[in-house]
Amino acid sequence: MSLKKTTIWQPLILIALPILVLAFSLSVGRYPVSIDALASALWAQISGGKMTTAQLALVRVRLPRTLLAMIVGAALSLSGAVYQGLFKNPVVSPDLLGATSGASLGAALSILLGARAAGIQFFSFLGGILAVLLVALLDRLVSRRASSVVNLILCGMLVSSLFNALVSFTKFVADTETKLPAITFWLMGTLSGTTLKDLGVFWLFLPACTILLLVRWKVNILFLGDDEARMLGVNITLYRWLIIACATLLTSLSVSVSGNIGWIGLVVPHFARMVVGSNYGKVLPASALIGSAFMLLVDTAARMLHTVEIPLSIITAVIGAPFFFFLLLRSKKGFVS
Amino acid sequence: MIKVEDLVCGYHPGKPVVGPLSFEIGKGDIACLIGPNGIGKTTLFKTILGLLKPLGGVIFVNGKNYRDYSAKEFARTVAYVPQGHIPPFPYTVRDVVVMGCNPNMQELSSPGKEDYAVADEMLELMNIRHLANRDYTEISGGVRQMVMISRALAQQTRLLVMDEPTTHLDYGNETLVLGQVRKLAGLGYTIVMITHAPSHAFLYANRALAIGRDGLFVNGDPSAVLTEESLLNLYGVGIQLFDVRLKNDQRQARICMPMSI
Repeated sequence: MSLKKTTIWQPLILIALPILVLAFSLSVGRYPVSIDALASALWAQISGGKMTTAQLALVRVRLPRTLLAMIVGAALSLSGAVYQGLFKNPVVSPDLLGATSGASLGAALSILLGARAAGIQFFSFLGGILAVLLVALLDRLVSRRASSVVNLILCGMLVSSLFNALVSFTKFVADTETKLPAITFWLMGTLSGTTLKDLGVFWLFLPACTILLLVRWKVNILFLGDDEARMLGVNITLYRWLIIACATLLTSLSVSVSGNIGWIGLVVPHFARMVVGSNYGKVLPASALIGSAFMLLVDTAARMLHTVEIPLSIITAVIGAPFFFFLLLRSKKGFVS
Repeated sequence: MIKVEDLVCGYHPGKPVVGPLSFEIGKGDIACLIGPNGIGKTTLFKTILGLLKPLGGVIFVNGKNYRDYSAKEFARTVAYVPQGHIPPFPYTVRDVVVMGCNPNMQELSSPGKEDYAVADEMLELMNIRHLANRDYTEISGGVRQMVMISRALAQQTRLLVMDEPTTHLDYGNETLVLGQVRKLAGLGYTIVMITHAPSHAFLYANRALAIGRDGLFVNGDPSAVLTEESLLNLYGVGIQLFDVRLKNDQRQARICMPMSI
């Protein structure tokens, strides 16, 4: 692929991509804003100057949600990319170990019990973490001598499917007039209603993303399998759980702020690989950059395409599924070798 | 280099697969581990590599009990060459080889210029430097094995442990790979490898370790260990040995041939 050879421009283009999409996304919408007006609004926010109503709407409504979309996109893509390496499987996505279904259950239950936005977010996050802890516990019971990746995946499937059943049960008992639609819409994913205060979760995203980016090259070695990684001097238990902890944190946080958004964590890493090659030293930063741009485009589409906002998971699936098919067509030897 | 005393290997305590064995392999040796399928060669290998806890006995590497090594230190002492396999994502040859530098790198870090220089040097030594930027998934099986050896060399150890380095290789690649193995021994590397062909032991090794049924274990010079009688014992089929003179320099070589031919 010719893109692989343009080594000087490639990182610059990848870094410019989310910035350009950000500028685009901020300027379009129900109230279009010119680039000049955008700059003066941002300057007014930073310098604390007086703002017009339009500027306020831009900074208080549109800016937080665009930034959160980028954070969520980067987080889901990073988690998906490291999981594909860690579990040596190209069709793995961040929900593999139950983080997504746990977070969904947390949200569904708290909506059922009448929690407010902050409560829903908190219990959703907690649910994701607890689900993966449960997977880790089951894995320990199953593989007492040495933890194996296959056992871990099976425990993840088990917990995911159990928690999904519990989500269905929550919906089943929910009030069909008020609670059921609330749960359903929440699960389909949306970023509308994001405020500047919601951006505080960035300080939880940041350390987890940083750790994943620091261990990025080691993922290459973990990818070779347990025995080989150990023979190359890698402490596989340490790295495996460090990566799972970070990916779980990122996935649970993402679901808790934006609902259940599929496909991003599966498709973006493959797109990144098409551009930069398979080396995780490059795949992870590229996934984060492409993921943030992609998620922001999806969210922009969500608020632009129709008078009523379209749930994010619908758009990601509509884009993701054909793209995945394209990858299947393109691969020479079959996707999973 | 490596010294094994009363080693018993197996997966479950109380159910030994192989052992007790005692042997010693010195610097510059090429030692072939020979025995029928299912006798425990791989079990012994995994134990030597530290992937399996011994059920009894001790292993010394460079005079130090191998249990006293940290994972990284061990990886700087013993390098494992797996059978060439194909990962689902296409790494370049150079990216694969530089992974061997890991034991000499900091935690949380990525390889730097010096590490890539080491990788290139090892590719050069294996005569495949020109393939550095090719995809590892698209090269031939023989080259893939050379890449695995280069990666092991990048660990900067002097002891290479190879798991059937010539399986799935055509005759030409087999000869090339084993030729490289001999070259490495000449450079002072010590090599332990599993092989299924007694001729490999005759042609390339100076030590043979034969594991047979009923606890049979012999080790020593290949021509002393692998006789017609012991090969019958090991494999259960009649094998005859011939000494031939090589055409170009009149050196003597031993080859084997099945009796039933």
